[in-house]
Amino acid sequence: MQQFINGLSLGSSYALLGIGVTLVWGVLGILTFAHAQTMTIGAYAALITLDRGYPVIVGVIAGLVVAGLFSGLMDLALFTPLRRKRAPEFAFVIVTIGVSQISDAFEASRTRSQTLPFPRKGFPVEPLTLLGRNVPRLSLVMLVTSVIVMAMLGYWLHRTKSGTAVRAVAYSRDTGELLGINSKWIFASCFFISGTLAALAGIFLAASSGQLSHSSNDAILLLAFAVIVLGGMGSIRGAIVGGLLLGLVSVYATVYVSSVFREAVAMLTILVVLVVRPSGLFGEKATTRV
Amino acid sequence: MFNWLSPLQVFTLDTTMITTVLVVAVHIAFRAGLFNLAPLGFAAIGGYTTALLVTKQHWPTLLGIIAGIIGAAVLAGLFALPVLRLRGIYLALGTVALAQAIVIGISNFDFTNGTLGIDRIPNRVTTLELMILLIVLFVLLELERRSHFGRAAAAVRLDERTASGLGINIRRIRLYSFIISAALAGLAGALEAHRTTVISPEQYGFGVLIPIFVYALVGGDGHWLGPVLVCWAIVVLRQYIDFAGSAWEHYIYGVLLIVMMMLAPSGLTDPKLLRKLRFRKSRRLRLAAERAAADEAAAVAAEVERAARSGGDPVDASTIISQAPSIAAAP
Repeated sequence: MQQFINGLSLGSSYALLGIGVTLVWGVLGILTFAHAQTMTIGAYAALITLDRGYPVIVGVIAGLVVAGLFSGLMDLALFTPLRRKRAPEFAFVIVTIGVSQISDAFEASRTRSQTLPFPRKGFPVEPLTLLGRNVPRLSLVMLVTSVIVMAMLGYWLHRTKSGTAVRAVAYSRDTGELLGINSKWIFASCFFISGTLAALAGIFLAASSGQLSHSSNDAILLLAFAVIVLGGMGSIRGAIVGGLLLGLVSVYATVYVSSVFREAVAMLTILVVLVVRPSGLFGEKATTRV
Repeated sequence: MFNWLSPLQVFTLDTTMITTVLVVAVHIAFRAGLFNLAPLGFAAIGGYTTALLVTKQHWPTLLGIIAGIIGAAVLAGLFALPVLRLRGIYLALGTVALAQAIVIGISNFDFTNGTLGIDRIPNRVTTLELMILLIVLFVLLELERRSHFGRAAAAVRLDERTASGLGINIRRIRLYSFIISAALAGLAGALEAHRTTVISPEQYGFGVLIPIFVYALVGGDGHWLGPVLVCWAIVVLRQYIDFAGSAWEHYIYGVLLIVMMMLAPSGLTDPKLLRKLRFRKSRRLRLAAERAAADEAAAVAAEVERAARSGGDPVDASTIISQAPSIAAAP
């Protein structure tokens, strides 16, 4: 039972990661390697604000806005011209690798490659005893946050006019434009929202580990991709279920098989799911993947 | 033979030559349209195979390196079946996962000595040997590029359906390109192991791939010489921007990747880019010719008008036109 709770709490951070990627990659189909850097930038912005003595909520909002602007501007400055030129999809991937390279170098030079302590004061970090079990309170908050964000994203994408416009543009940009949708702003706002969600995950992860460095999010980028691949492309609910499942698999595999799996579970998941069931758990069937 | 070079220069030369092999490995995959992000995984296989065989089993170095190549190629053949089913960015994702899985596997097994790596690998690769190897490799590459296989691989990248319609076995081309790419990466990894004498899993992380990637993409997939020359040019450039610190290198790589994708997504050796440059030049020449013809026509018209106004003998327009043959020739 304790293992189950550990798995869920690990999974809740994975789910939050997945939520951040799902909009840009899952819905719009752009594989972005700059996601880890967006998370780090948001966490840095929050850290700077918190160090100035502002309350936690201000710090979180500052992080969200800065990362959102970073992500939205990246879309307007780089992806809009690429889209106009109808560049092949790998061009987007390479541009995001370039962006992550530049911002990583920038952060490393600003912080002199040091790991900074992240203030945990004000975050709900103390453990909670529930039904006689130890439950990390921060994981609970993360789980609740990801479920709320998932519900909001799902409502937005499927029930509102602007969300429907996003899905229309994702399906076919030309058709969307013919229907009078300004695809440029749809893409930019999706990137802005995805940036804020990335920052949310970045801030929570920094608060749970209590430290932050320019490379602290590099390793978990593949985890985020694994969550989306497992949950299924384009499925918001898949991101949550995929994240929780990945956390559970990771914990149980570590306990019953070998600790190797804790690190390798993301890669193995990507490989196995792409080969066996490319559409993931909840994804729609698409022929372009295989 | 290389006594006149300083140790640092010899070091740079060796590193560059080994990197060149890796760049060629990436190029071979790109040429067939495979967005392969796994070469460092295969380089790790090559390096560890020869390191283990030479230090633990006391194999001769040459046999160790050959075993490294074969090991990487066999592993690529095994994983090709699932990985090559994927396309586009999914292939990229699958190969990233594969490379990371290999590195994580190496850092967790006991016989590879985990994250500590292997040291005391005999350093038996000389600069001269590397140079000869590289020349042989270049000759083979050029022969291969001109062969049926090389042309077929380029055709598969440009248009899979047309290539398939022309009777090219796409699966086979993709499979062989993947395996050749992995074998070359294994060779580079094995050479690197014997040059540095120490290897550890973190040497094969994703960040190491980025410079290689820059060379291959900026050079383009039209000709193997493009990536190789770009690699050498950046190595030379790096000697001069040394003073600016290592952060600048990252900035330059990042900016290069972005600018290349914005301006010429298929790299500098892309035949389409060259054609476009040529076309632009010829268009400028044509415009100049048209402007000259228009000037001449205006001059003729002014001449006719002046003659008519002076009331003298009206000049026969046809004689003026015959004096200016370029008007008749102008479209």
